[in-house]
Amino acid sequence: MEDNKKAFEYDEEFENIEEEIEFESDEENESEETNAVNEDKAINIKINNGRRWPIFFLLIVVIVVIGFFGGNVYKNHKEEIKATSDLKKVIKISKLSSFKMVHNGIATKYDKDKEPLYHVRYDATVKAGIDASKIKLKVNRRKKVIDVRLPKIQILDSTVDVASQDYIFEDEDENDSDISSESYKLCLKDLGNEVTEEKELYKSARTNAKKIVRGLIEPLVEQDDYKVVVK
Amino acid sequence: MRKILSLLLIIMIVCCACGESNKLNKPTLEQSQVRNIAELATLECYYHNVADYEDEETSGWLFWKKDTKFWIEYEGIVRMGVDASKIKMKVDGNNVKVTIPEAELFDAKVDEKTFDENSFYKEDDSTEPTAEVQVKALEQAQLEMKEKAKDDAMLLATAQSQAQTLIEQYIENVGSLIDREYVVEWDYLK
Repeated sequence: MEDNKKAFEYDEEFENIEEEIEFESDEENESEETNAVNEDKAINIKINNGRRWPIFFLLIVVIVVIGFFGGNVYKNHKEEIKATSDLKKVIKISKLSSFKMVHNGIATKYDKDKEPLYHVRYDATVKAGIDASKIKLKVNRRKKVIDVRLPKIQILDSTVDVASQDYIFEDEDENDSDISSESYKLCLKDLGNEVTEEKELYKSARTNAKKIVRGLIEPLVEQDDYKVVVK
Repeated sequence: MRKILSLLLIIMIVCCACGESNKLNKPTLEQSQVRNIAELATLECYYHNVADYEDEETSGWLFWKKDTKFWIEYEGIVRMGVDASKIKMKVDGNNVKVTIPEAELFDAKVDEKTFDENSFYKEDDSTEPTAEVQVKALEQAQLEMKEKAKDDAMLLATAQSQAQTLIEQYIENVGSLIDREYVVEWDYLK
């Protein structure tokens, strides 16, 4: 019964609408336009609601990118290095360096499995010569000969230029807070190995040390017809 | 067309392989230079060096940026003396006129005995100092030490004086061998 009643009410409404269509044709066009606009708005709102999340997400991504890269590229760069140096002690020495070798080397740090962890390039200088306080002098008055005995040639100085150190890391974890001290020792060790193999260094150092010493002694004994023999 | 593409592919593979092998072969890029010198080192000076490094906003972003702050403390060694190749002698009887150059700085190095993991001090909230910034700090400290030594007129004068003492002893020793008592006169080369 109720269903029939509702159907009757809908029919009545439908008839009323039809009547309105017949008698209010001008208003009909206006209301259709209004309805169309309202429908468009509703669709737009739906679309906008659907697009809000990607836009919001994109905005966050842009902020993060600007914050990260912008923060690093346009960072407030204020690098400052202060250094102090105080003299602690002085030692008197008498080392005569007669030969110098400039060495550009690469040292490598390996792990337990002999896999390289990093490589460090360095510039170094090695000086070889004698301890001048150990030079022995003898004279043979009959033969008029001054016999000069030089001490053994030594590596008097091995200097690795710390500022020249440049690295290639195979394992980035090695790039930690005390890497430069470790690499410095590594370079010195590498340099030591290179120097040991350089026989020419010792030979040339001895030859030149002989020349230097002869040059200092000969002017003193020439007027008395003495010869200088340096061994 | 296929042949050309195959050829290009082979060339690309070969180039990539060569690039990789160059990287691995880099340790062979070594060279040495040698020369005669005549450095009479007379003083060895020990310096206590401290490098203080600070750089703002080195990592992180926006409100979570971190600074790098660390110190390095070590001893440096400077050697000074005279260039023996510039020493000239003129002998006339018992008089010897020696021309000697001014003392100069020969070497400046880091004393490895004092440079280890205990040489580094880092703030708790600091970014881990990289090898690059550590080298920069060390370079600055070494430069400071060299400048200090070069500007130390008293120290350089001592180095020259020590060289004079050594040379005078030689002249005296040689003289005693040939029965001469040399009198040394100094001329300073500038």
